[in-house]
Amino acid sequence: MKFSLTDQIIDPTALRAKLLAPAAGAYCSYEGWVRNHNEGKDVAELHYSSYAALAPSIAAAIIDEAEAKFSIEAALVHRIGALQVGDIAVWVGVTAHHRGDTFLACRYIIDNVKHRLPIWKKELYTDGSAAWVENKHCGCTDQANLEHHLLHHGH
Amino acid sequence: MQIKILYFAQLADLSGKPEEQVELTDPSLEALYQSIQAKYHFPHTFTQLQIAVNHQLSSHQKPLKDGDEIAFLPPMTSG
Repeated sequence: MKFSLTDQIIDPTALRAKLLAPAAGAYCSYEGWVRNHNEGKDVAELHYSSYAALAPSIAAAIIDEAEAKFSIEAALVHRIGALQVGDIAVWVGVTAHHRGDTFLACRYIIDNVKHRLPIWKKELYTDGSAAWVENKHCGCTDQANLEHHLLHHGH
Repeated sequence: MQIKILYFAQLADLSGKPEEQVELTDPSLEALYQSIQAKYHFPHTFTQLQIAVNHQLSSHQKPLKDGDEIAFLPPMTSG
């Protein structure tokens, strides 16, 4: 299973164990954590909602692209529902014969997940207010990783 | 024709429902979006949204047909 949505706590140790393989010489992972602040506001928790009937095909496409671009095996898990500060929202694990591709593929997958996986987060603030997060296409994304998507979807 | 609209995230909050059935004569996705945008005060323009038809991403120009399930998707904010 290369992708799953879960409403349970993500356990990276268990997920890593599923990727162990005799031919793999390198492993790289990414964890996205819920932080306690965003754009000057104090965040109490996040609520993630998904389009569960669409997400698997989008995730499979992103992983297929990464596996075609790099010599890797990859897995991706995204949490949905109510998350607390410090919880893992998303986990990416990548293995390969050698380390180089694992770093690049991990970055490729998370950058594309951020903009393409049909999941949305709502921030609940400590002052009792709430807001859907807007995708500001922040500079933390490597634009080269989105080239394929930009070319094929026109935005 | 009868179609089903699926609402997610902010669009679900503003419409107050996860889905609804509507009766249409115009097969245009843009006309459909304009009607629900006016009804529920959605903040996004048509081109700011991605579209899924029957759980697959679709072009904005795809003609609607009877029984389709349509989702207008705000910019994703996963991770």
